[in-house]
Amino acid sequence: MSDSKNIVNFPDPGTIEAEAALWVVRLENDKLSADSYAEFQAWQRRSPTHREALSRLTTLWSDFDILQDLASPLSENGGEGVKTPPARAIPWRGLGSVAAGAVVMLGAAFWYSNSHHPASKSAGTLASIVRQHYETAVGVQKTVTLPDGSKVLINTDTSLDVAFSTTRRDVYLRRGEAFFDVMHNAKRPFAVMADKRLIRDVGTAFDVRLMDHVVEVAIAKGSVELAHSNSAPGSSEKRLGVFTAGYSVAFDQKIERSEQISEEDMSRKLSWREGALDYNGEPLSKVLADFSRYTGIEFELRDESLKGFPVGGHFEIGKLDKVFVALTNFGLRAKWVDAKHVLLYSANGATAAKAGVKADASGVRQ
Amino acid sequence: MSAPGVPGAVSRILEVYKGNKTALKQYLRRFVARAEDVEDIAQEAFLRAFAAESIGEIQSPKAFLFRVARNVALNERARQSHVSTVPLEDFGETNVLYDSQVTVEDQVEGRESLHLFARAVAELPPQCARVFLMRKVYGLTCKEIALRLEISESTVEKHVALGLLRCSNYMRANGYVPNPRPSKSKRTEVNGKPTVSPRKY
Repeated sequence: MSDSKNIVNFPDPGTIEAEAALWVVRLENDKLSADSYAEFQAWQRRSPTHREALSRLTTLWSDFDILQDLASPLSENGGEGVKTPPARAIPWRGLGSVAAGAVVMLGAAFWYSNSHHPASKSAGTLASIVRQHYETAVGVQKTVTLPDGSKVLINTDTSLDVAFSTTRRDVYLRRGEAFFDVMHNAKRPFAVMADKRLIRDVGTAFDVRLMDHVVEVAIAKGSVELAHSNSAPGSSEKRLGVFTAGYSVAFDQKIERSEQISEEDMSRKLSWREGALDYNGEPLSKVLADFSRYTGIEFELRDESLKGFPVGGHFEIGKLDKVFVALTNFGLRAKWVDAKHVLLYSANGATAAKAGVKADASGVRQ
Repeated sequence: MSAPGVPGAVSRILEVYKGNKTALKQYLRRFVARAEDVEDIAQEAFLRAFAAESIGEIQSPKAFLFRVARNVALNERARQSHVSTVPLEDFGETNVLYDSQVTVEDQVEGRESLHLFARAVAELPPQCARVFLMRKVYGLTCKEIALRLEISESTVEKHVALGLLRCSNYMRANGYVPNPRPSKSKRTEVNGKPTVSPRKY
């Protein structure tokens, strides 16, 4: 570390690299203004050199996620005592094998103290526990193969942790939604914890979505057991029942709603796995809520009566801007308030006239 | 949040580290099997403690630094003994089914990468390193960092950008090629996002 105290020589703003570095940092800001965004677009259009510098520094910037391993085990219970690390090795996946965005916790005692994890206590000294952390940003989906061969499709804006030992496979869904296609192994039960709600595999492919007050599970094949548990899988859980393929269930401490849905409805529910959203008359408010999940854009409806407006169609997640074209066809107009905020109003309504905007759905953002 | 993060405030961890480097390394030799690892471990311990100091108060920096160092060393030793004492035949399919994706090479490579990245950060000026670590190690947003350090958000952004730029130069000088994104991972660009998005994937 150099001794130059707090004097920082900021990069010469004239250099492309320095500007690129600043954009990498600034673009991570969710509140980036529309003006800044436009400025950025103009900047990166200037030359291939600009874009290359940006791309290279962007990649390097995420490579620096490796530093998360340096999160120090400040104990959470007041003191600053650092517990002796567990005397077992926790396998480390090298950079080369880490899927983009996957962060690996290596001996992170910090995490130990934060997650009551029975497996870590009972695993003994020989067993390794494989822990992995996966996250997706808004609008991003990712497929990962877990160490046991089970597949997870991770939907937009989702965070989950995996802790596998020789005797159990635990997944903690912290936020968002994921679809699990589980390699069944009765000797190593597979369980998903979604904030005290437990879904245990009985040879299954199923979808779990963690929402504000409930967890929604859709079972594509096989069956799952649902339970409510105050801590981790296996400990003092309240069993809620076993559900088979074709069921869509919302539950918390009890089953809030369960229904057998048609194959068609099931495939619509799971259409996100193919990178698309399918609707068949769902209310506009629900459709917009979904779009927000994938784009981080907030939609505001000027006219309350539009909420129930039925929407049908097939929208590719990567091309949600087409939605605006569709909305235009439905007689709606979109106005960008800023980079993250869209106002929708009826084309012939008073609000539209008041707003006095000529909506241009196709050219909203280029 | 009191003293530690305030600009101008001296980092007690940094002071302790500078003043006790030799003692720390001597102490570490007790736990470290390979002498050549001592430097890396000392530095890693320093960065851990330094990053921790940025987000919370530390009562006795010296004791804290030494404890962290000891833990890093013990972890390293456990890891090495794991690596070296597992006979090859134990890597039969049944035994390592659950970590078949994790090879010994990966582990070693991972540690080396971490130390390379750590060295890059350690070269930064203190305040710049502090901000960089708060952003990367603890995932605080620039706004959160600005509030904690009582500096403007744009200053934080500049610190982080400078850190990134310097680290980039350091990494390049050390022959590091940014890890290419696996093309197979499904990645969906969303309207309104730049084609090269700095978001994490």
